[in-house]
Amino acid sequence: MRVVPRALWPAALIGLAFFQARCQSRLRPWVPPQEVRAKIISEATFLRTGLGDYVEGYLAECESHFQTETVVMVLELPCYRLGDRLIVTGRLTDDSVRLPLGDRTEGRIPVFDVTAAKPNVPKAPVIPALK
Amino acid sequence: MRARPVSRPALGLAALLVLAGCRSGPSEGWSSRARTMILTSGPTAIVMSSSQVPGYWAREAESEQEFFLYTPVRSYEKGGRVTVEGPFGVASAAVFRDEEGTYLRRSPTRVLVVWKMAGADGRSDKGPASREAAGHARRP
Repeated sequence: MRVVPRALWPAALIGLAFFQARCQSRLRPWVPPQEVRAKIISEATFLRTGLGDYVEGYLAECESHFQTETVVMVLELPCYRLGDRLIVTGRLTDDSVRLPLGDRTEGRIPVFDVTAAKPNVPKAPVIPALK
Repeated sequence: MRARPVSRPALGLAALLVLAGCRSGPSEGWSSRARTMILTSGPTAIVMSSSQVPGYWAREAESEQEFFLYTPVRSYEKGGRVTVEGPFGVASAAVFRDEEGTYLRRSPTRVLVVWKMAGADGRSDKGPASREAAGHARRP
């Protein structure tokens, strides 16, 4: 009878550790990165997020599924300029930044974590020649 | 129980090989030989572990491999030919390519920590991580 509880102890401890880790972590399920078109609407700024992280990035207008959303685009090397149009790959995080929106109101701007970015150079439309 | 006479030299040879293997270390990442590089960028920076690392992008003249030369020296120009010494290894870094205007957060990059850098004009610079600074100076 004593052999069975002895064998169950490690399993019970591992289960308890996983349960505690799940309760305490801020992790969320993995989401694939998405590609969006963005336009930078601010200079590079150093910000503190709602979760207490200090990040460097830009305010940007992201276009996705025909909707425009203002986000804080976080890059480790801020090398773009105000007005640059980019194709950005990354993920929206659970974090946000409080910024004044005017009229004494504060808005929560979501944080977009950038993994890759390249300039969005629009191609000239192909117009068929008149016959 | 007497050991066979043949097994003793074999054991000695095996021990020698094990000892040599332990002492030699990996061939990549640790080389003090001078390398000739062509700078493919001006002074720039990459980010490793949330820290900005200053330096230059360069292409090795022999192997055409691309390196990031970690040095605080900012006086060299793009296209210059330099001779560098120092250890190197592959790191995951956030990089920005000026030519294409692209940013990549986790890019596998060969980083060479410059111990000594000399330009074609004979000017020589030592990096912050030079052997002397790191305490690896050869004692007389």
